[in-house]
Amino acid sequence: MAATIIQYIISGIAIGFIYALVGIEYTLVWNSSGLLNFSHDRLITLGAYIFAGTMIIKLNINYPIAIFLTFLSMGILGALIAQGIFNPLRNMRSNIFAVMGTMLLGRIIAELIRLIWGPVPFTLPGFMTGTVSIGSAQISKANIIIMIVSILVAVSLQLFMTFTKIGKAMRCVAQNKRASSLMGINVTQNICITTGISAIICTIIAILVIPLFNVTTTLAASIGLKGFSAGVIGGFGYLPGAIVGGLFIGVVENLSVLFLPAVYKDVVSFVLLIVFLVVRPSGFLGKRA
Amino acid sequence: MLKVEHIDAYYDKICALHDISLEIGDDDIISIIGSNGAGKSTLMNAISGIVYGKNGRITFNGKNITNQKPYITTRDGIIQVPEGREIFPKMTVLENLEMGSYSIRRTRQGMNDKIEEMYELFPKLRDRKSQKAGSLSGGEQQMVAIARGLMADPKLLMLDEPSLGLAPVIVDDVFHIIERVNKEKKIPILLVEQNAFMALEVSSRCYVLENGRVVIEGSSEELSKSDRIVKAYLGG
Ligand SMILES: Nc1ncnc2c1ncn2[C@@H]1O[C@H](COP(=O)(O)OP(=O)(O)O)[C@@H](O)[C@H]1O
Ligand SMILES: [Mg+2]
Repeated sequence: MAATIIQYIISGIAIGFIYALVGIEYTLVWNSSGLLNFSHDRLITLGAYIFAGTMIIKLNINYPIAIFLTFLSMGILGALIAQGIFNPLRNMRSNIFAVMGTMLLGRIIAELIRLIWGPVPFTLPGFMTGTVSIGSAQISKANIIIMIVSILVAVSLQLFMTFTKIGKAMRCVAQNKRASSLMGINVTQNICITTGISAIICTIIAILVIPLFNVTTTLAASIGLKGFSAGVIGGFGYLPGAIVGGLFIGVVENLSVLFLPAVYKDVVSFVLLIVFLVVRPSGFLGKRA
Repeated sequence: MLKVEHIDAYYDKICALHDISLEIGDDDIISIIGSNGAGKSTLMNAISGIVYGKNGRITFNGKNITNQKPYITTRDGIIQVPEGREIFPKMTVLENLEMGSYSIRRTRQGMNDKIEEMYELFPKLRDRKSQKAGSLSGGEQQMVAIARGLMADPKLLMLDEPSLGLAPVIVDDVFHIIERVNKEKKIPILLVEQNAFMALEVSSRCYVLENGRVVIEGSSEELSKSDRIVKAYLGG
């Protein structure tokens, strides 16, 4: 029993880190451009297809280079999306334009995926498979890799935002765009960079979840929403909040299986989201709603 | 060095500036006074490139900067310290100062020297350097805003209502600093103020803005004696 609980907690932490990365990825764009990117789950899916479908299966490139090339293409795509859609839309009179714009972008990406790679799900045989036993608990290698990579991503992002000129400028743009431009920061360019980084994080998420979900058009549907919940529960707009919220949801929903039928697992995070929206809209770490 | 010639500016169809011309020389402090809504901030923002000017021309040391993107104008050395300070509240005082130097390349040593120079000018900021700028008092935030502007090695410093919302003692401090910056660092200053008394005292020339037009201009000394100014702006 103890080993089962430990296993549930560990896989909860692993999937929680995925939610946290999703939370981080869209919070970056939100802070930078003031827009909620409703196409973010499709970007994650696209990253998985480019990596698995094109780089590995079609072109048979080795993993490190395939990862690099996927990062590169997704990063550039992110920057182009910012330049072509976010930057024009964020200055519109109503947020509705931006909401519609990013939703439609999501539809377009989804259709492109179906056209290019077809509707049939596939998998990457042998990719991040196997288990490690720690004591009496069996932990999948995928979960261990997810935890290590997520921590590395969170830490490097934090270092990047604290110590580099571009990272500091990203924080300025998030706080005050006019003042940022008075500092000499090219705000539109900075939003492109931030969105590119966000798209690269989407790709990292995509590659990490391939062993969990296979490569399907709905790969990111559930983690997209739960990552959003993670941000809200942790404290909207605050990066460390996304991590706290993600881990909280991941562990709670996994442990819920001990008390509830497993089919209710996915509902747990949305119930938590609604409870937080009603009771504590500022989340765990947020100061105000 | 800065020449504004016949600039108009609109918010949608509403004309906020009408046929504005002014000039700033190399060591001047020029002031612009006028009541709330006269168009002072709009003028600054037109120079910075935040608000689009129609017609007319703005040149800086011979370069045409009309409707240039604000970040480029900043890189050209025209530094605006905006109304309401607009510091980065979630960053420390030190980080705010560093961001002031975003537009120029500095070595680590050069950066430290420049920050040290700011601490000498604003000793209070040294004690507050690791504090989040948003937690400071209004006066201290204004110090951060001015210091952050100076961190860019301005060729022209534009201050938009630096005394706004400050206690009278602090206002005196701020104006002393403005004079020192101009005298010691030889930086020309364009000062926008509602506090006409202070503005006229520190500046050599003054423009009076009403409803988006320059209605009076002249030497500050003469203006502070003129009946019209005394009545309308000095509470006489
Ligand atoms: N962003 C804006 N949109 C529309 N009208 C504005 C805007 N900013 C200022 N105005 C209008 O332009 C006029 C001049 O404003 P402003 O330049 O801020 O004056 P001042 O700085 O002298 O108080 C005012 O009538 C003000 O209402
Ligand atoms: Mg103003």
